[in-house]
Amino acid sequence: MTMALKYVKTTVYYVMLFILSFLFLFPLLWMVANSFKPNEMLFSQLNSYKAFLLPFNLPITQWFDAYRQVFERFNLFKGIGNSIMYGSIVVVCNVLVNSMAAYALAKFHFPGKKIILSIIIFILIVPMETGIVPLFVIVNSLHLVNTIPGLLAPAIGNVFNIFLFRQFFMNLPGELEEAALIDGAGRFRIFFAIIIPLSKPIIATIAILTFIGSWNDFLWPVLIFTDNGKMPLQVILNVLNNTDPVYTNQVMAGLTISTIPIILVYAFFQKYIVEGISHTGIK
Amino acid sequence: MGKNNQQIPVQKYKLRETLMAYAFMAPALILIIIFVIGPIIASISFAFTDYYLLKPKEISFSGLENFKYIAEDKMVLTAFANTFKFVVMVLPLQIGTALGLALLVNRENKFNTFFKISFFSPVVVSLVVMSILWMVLLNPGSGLLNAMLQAFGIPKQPFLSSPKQAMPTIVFVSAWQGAGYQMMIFLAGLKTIPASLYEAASIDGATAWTKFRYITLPSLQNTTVFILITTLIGAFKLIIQPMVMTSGGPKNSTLTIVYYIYQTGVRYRNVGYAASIGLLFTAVVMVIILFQRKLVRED
Repeated sequence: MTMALKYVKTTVYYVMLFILSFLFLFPLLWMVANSFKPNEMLFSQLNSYKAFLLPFNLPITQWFDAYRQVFERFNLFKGIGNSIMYGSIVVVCNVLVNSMAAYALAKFHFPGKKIILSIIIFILIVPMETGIVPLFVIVNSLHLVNTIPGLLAPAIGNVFNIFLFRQFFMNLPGELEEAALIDGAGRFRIFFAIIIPLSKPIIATIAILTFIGSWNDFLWPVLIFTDNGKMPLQVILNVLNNTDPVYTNQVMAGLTISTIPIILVYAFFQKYIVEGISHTGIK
Repeated sequence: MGKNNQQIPVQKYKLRETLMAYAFMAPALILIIIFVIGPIIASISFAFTDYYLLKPKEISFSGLENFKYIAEDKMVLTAFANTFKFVVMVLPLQIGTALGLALLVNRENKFNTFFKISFFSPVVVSLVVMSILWMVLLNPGSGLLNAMLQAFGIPKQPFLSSPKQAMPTIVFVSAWQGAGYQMMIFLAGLKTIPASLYEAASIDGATAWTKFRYITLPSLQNTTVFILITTLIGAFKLIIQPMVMTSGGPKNSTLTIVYYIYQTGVRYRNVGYAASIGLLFTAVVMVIILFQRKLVRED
């Protein structure tokens, strides 16, 4: 009897989890499946389970029609290229600049440290989105509107990443550094030769989260760019969704192109993302 | 003499180390001062001026004029009300979902990685992609969701095109997107609870509910406070979903405060007025956060 009860319980548990997984995944499944279908098929299958399946009855050469059309109508290649370039620059600069600042805040004694730390905490809770127009005014007065530095520079110094790096550095044992200091190594050498190699996990975490953030950014590029050639993918997707005639299958193709790389990055580096999130939570 | 001798060992900071520290921090500090602290200070000062984006030279101090105008601006009231509505609905839904999912996934099971990836996937999807996708799914005439509802015999819903349903729909979509993130933080918190506590409780014959109420919940207190505050801050900043999905409508029912600030500053170029709303809003958010922390601490 208890065996049977346990069996029922386990079954209910799994069924529940699979239903929940479906609730979280079905929009994405539908998006991917329908990016491979002609528009008429997409709408005719809405009230059938086939809505979530790939169009197996079509020859595979027709699957990519929506992709071909959307690439013809919109400059998606340019957008993808721009987004990859912006993301890479931001990641490299972000990791370098913030890890250095965090190292000083974690390991050095100096006047002003407490003030800087409290300012960082303060900035963490200010809703910066309200400052986007004043930010525009500042970037404008630096003559950086419609330039790539204007897009990227505000995304590099990041108090949240300094905070994460600092947590990590504070937990690193100090012996190696002390030994190197006694041997006469300079602080910069210690940082690049000892600390950075020890910090690969947190660097991976921050690099991934920063890349995803940059890839997904929308508000700031819309505001700062007037030149369509510089727009990142997210802005082009919004244009694609607002340019008549709007074909749903083409929209889904565009969204899939934007989403698949990010989901792959996430699936590959799951461990680092989870670690990063856990660090922020436990604090 | 004696005084000086004492001071030397007490002196905490070495010049070399101080210089090094600032050299290490310089790039980040300079960028943060220009692009983070700069806008904060600019917001505060613009709030008391009539700064207009196209006429930067005609800026003049206007005292509390902007704030007087806020008091008469019905759109500000609407935007505040909408934002609070969103926060009050999304907070329990999203955090409750996240905790539930975390508890379910925290058990050993064969498909754990699959479940976690499913719940977390929407988090990495961009807000623009998610907003466009749900717009299509929620289309009242030809959307998947109404087709699914009809399959269960439920009549078609207007969703985003009705002033009544638009905000709850955005709440639902936002919770769908965000819950996986808080689930991960809850999971990290759950992992720190020693299994021995549960074993001891089981020996004493505690029910699942008692264990949850007297072991799990109290152990998650710090995690929950952290999640409450970060989710609250995130929820107050709502802009992209209404911007992409509804443009603030229908009938301004999804116009949020950050969106209104954006419109005032960007579309109407009234930077001074936008900054004054932003300042008021920031003050309100900070008071709520401090109040919330105090409440939770006293608990």
